[in-house]
Amino acid sequence: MTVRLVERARDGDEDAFTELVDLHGDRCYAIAYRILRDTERAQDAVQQAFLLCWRELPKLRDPERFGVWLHRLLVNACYEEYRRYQRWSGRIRALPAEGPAGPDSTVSVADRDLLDRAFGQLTPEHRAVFVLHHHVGMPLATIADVVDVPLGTVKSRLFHATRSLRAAIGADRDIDVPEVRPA
Amino acid sequence: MNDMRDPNLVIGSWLEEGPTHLPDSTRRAITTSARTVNQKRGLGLPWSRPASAPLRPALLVAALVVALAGVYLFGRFGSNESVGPPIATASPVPIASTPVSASPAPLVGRIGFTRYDSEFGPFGDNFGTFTMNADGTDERRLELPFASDGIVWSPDGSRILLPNAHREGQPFRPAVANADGSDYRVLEVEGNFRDMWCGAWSPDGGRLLCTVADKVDYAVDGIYSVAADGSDLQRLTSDTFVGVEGAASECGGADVPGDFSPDGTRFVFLREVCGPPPDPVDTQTATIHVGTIGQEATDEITIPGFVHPHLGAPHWSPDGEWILFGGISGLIYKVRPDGTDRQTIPISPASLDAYLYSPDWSPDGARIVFAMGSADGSDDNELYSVAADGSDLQRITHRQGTEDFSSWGPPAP
Repeated sequence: MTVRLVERARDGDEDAFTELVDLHGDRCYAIAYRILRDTERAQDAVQQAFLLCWRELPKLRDPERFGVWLHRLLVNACYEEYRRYQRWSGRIRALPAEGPAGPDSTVSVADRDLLDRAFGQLTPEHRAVFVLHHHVGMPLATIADVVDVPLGTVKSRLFHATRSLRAAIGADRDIDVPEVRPA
Repeated sequence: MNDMRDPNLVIGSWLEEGPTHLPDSTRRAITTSARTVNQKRGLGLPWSRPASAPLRPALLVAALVVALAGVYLFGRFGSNESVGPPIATASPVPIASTPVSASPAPLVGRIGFTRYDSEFGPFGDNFGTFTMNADGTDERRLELPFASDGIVWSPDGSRILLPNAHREGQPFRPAVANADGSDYRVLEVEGNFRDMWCGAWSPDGGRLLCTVADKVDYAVDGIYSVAADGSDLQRLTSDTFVGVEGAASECGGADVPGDFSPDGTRFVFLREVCGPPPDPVDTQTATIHVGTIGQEATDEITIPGFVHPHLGAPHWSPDGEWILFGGISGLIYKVRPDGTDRQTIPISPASLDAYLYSPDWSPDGARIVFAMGSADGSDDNELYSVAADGSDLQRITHRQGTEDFSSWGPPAP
């Protein structure tokens, strides 16, 4: 179904593109929010990714690759949004997250704060790998394709991100996690 | 702390917190915006290039040769040696090959701007105020009695507004002149306040949209309109966010004029909000408001902190449908006058390091002029124009210095 929609959208069918947005919008937004931890920035990143998607679709030769390609556009849009945010908007107030997946009782307020801080110390490249693997459930080889780095780099980033978050909540107290500054 | 908890479960649960549904407003913004964006056809990228296609390197080399020839020819024949410092040799922002455009519309009208000896923003010496054709040719320096920050074209293109005449030791006042700088007049608006500067003409050219600011009596601060001859001052808003002082300086929080609506019944402005001491200037934020002439209440149409407090002044599209502004993120946005459908102008190619600001519409609304520089301020900023859908990016200034406060006017009558 998606392949047919992609082909139609690639041929300039706006209705097909709207259906693609309906099909993939929620997932993209969920990913973008988890990478950026900011609803407004996530919305902007999703918007940028889909507009690029529409503009560049005629260049997508293999519709079967649409999913990986869209995720690549999205991750790159998140990188861009993150770096702009870091450089220019240190004072922007992040709005509280909305939606059905609100605070989970499994996570204490203290843990949530620690995890937020630790995640904030990760680069967007580390965040993307972590989110794509643990939130989306994407295989590491596919992640390597999406973020366009070798598989070993994906593994390294995932290991570091996971270890940082575990250390933040005291699960790996004896591990000295080197501080990672955002790029 | 509960040491019995499963850390992986805690992290997994934390990761799942947060929104999962793309807001309908964003969904609509995407599909609506896509209708205004042309799909690129004909040129392949790695995602579509056949494995055996050898043409790409040849095309790139050919494009590079053509581009270099163009730069050479412009440098040799296209420059005007009589104005401004020499042409800068390097683009501040990497620009890829010009996007394919089926039939680009001719660029009409003239663009006015001010050039500064500064790497970022209008903080250096004022090199002067200039006008040029919309494609960057025929740049002319206006001979003005006093420096000013930018110009604003009257609706018919015959007159210009100089927002703030820099008269040494005297308070700011707006000035008006003919399009070539002649018949220059500072508007001696009478009123019990210190400074006044203006940012827009009414659609009939009869009035100006201005800010009044007083360093002592903050109660008078706000947006005003005044007849183009300086008479008939009318208050439109009361700025409620002034008067916060910090260790380094006063906060410049103020209501800053944006634009009149095309029918002249409404106006849009920037409300700067001082941050907390001790650095209220550095922590300043801004929101965009829309007001109706004759009504005290205004509508806040952007969230706090989204708009750049100094470089994001809003402009109403000629068809009345959109308000254009610069975000603090360094992107350019448009939003409906009621605050819905906020959309990023998808300008491509814009590198990660680029910072885009001070946008304005062309008279027909088909294009946007804006300033762009590198995020770290290491290069001169330049003016660019782009189609309203974000395509067809064109650099239109090339000289040393930072160009800012661009305004796109119609052809002179």
